[in-house]
Amino acid sequence: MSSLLARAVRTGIRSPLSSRLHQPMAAIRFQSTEAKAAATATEEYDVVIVGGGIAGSALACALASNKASSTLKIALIEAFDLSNHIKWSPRPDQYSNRVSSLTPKSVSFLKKIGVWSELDSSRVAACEGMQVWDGVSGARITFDATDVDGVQSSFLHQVFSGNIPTPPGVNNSTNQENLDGSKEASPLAWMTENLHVQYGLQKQLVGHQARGVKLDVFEKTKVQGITTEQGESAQPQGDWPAVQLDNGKTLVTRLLVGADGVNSPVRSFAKIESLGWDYSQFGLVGTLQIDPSTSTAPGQGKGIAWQRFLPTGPIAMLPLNNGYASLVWSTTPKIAQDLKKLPARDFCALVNAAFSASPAELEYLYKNIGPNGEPLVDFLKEIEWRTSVHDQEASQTMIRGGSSSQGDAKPPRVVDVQENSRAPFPLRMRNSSSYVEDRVVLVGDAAHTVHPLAGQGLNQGLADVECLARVIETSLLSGSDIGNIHSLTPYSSERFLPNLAMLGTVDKLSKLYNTDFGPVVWARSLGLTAVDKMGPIKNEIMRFAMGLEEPSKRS
Amino acid sequence: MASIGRITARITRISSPHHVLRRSILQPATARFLTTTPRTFHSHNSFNDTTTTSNNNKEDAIYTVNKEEIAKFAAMSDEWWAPQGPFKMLHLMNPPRIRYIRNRLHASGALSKNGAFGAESGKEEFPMGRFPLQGLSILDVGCGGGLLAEALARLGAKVTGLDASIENIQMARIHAKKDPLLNGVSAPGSLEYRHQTAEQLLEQGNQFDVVCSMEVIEHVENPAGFLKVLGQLVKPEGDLILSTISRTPLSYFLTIFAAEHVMRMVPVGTHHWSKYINPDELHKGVEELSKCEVLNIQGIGFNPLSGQWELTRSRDGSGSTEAGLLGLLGPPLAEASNYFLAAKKPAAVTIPADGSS
Repeated sequence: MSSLLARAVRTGIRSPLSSRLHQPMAAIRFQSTEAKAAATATEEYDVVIVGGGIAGSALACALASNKASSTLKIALIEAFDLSNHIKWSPRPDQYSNRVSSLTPKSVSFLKKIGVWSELDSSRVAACEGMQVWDGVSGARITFDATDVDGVQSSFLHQVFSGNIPTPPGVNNSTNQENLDGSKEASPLAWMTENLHVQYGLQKQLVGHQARGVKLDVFEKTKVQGITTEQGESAQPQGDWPAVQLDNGKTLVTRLLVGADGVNSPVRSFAKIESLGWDYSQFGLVGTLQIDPSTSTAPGQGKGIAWQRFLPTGPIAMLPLNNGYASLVWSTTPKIAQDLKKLPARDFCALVNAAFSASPAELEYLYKNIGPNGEPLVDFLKEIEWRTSVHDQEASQTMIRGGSSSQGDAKPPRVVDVQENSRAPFPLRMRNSSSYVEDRVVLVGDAAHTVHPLAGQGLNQGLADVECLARVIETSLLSGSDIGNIHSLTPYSSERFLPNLAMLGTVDKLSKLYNTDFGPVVWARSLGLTAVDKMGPIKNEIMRFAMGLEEPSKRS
Repeated sequence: MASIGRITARITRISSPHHVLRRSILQPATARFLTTTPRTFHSHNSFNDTTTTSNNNKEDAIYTVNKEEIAKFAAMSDEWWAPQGPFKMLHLMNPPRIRYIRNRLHASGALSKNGAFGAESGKEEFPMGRFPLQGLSILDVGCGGGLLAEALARLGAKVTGLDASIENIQMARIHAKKDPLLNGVSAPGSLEYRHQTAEQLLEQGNQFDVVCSMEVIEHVENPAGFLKVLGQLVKPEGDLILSTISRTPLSYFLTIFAAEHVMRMVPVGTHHWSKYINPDELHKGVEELSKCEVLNIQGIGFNPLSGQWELTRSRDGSGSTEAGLLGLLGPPLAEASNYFLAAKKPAAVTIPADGSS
């Protein structure tokens, strides 16, 4: 077998056992090159990106849009049909269930690589506020874009100057005036469908190809194996990874990028360990229709993201346009499966309850979902009755002069769920032991996977891509071999710690809220309420979540 | 020869108090290299004085080369490209070296014809294209495994790499074959390695747009003669770029005590402190012997926090836009260890081919 440990490649040690060590989760087989070499056409590339998801496509786009790196010969390999994304023309009353919140930092990157202007402004929703509260104690924290004082004038803002996001199609200069003159702040995040971002990316990629960038997109193509050859018979580029495709081609590449997701075959090839755990939680996504009369701050057009921490996991509702919202409900695997099967009417009632009822009441309701997803009680009536009791309690509390979470802003009422939009997926936390090896680099989910509660997964991936594109540019301009481990190390040292910090923070949050144990609830509620009252700390949290708090740029 | 002799004498005089130190610490290490690696290097007699001139036979002509030093690096030749090997620090130093060369060539006007200029994030401006050095012939004296030479060729230059060790040249040739960008066909740059000395190359009548010799002069036997030959290899109006290490307590601490003995980042015996040359000495040597006008001196230091080499501020204030902590450092501390020097050869000067003056 000529398949070697990446480390062995570097040190020149042959490992005959290495082929047996491949992890079973790798979806590809690792074949000997001898078997394939005869029949295949081999082509040389500077960069081969495995995985045409948002991270992989964004990297291709970033490289193609930069003067130095646009001279590279790039291949993008994707198992699915990428050209479908360009034909994406959704109905105004239909939203995909995979929605991401893009931080201002991600948006400025998308602007820089020309993707943001490709997007349809009617399908990008600004999120200008965030309401996060504890389902057990009712302790609440409210984030508002105007809380992030100094965003407009701070040094960090100067770094990103000219990149303050505006909705696609909106005149940038007008917005700048607003930013300098009035109190109107840029949103905390922008909500849009992942498919929408893909549409913008693919349009840009086609544009780059048309203007002569050597960018080959292999769609509907699977990677069959990745090898390196070494020894006497090796080609001059023997230590370059060779990617065998199912179309018979072999791509030999100076730099192999794994943008191939959580079970990354590229990561397996590079023998990079992935560390972490599965949460005993599933996320349930869905597209919700909300009652326009109950959406908060009517007339201001303000999108608010709502998130309530329940002992089973957080439930979040993210604003979309046209009276739609996107749901991400983290809960136990069983409840997630039950919720998927529940009739739409009862499901909506339960979503509304999950944002208002007590955890004990929710427990009762979960137990009344039958084995086939049929409601064993009338959920709507149950919840109406309970809500009326709550309202009475609330008014009594207010009469007694106390404060109650019931007095706070309420999320809009869900009236419908889009057909076939409910889908559960397992929640995981993963971080690769390293993001780089000689001639191999990992980005996005291949490098790290995060709990979706903070909506940071895609933003971390885009930050990886932005950093890697910059590192590649710097290498090119200093005449370095872009695949050399020393050329890639700055990427790893810049991204590893921020990603780990985000993973750790989100993981701790998840664990902190995944309980109704009294002292913990008391302590965390005290913390949440205190932070809500402390401007500077809250400010820092928001900057971190908005991607504004990045380590100082160096390259 | 008179002026060379004076300068040599001066350098020797400055060095001599440290010979004791050099023997006690460094000689055993050098000896170890020689005993543990009994290689047959293509023996060139080295000469410890400046009396030998180029009219001797070819083997004897290499009067600036130090035999022990060649043997030392030859013994490590297969390690040149190991990412974590003994030359890791040189690998890491390569990007700022290139940045320095690129910026100095830009400042001296050598790159004016090559494309649009722009600024890479926070750094000095330079040509932003892939091949800013296209059209320049560059000589790299003491190229070792070709770390710098490959990078220069990737940026479009026609590079000649020179090394007195055949092992280094062989390693460099093998490694260059791995990259199609260096084959002279698919990209504008080209790369040629020669197992020769600077003197031999000069005898053949070669001159180059740019001559560089990075961290070499502190390893040669006769720095004065070396500087003179380098100057002669530069075309009129061409550029000479050197880097070496200052002879200061700081440099002893960093390059020998810390790097060799404590951190083991480079093998013990790599450096000889007494051979280090201070910026003012090099400045004078380049002006008097290489006959080039010194335009810039700039320090470079390893930042352990970032794990990267960073350029410090230079005497003329340029380079202050360098990213990184050490970019804040100014002279004289900035030049107290590793530093660069850039010089330009005037148009009018003609040097007799026989090397006498």
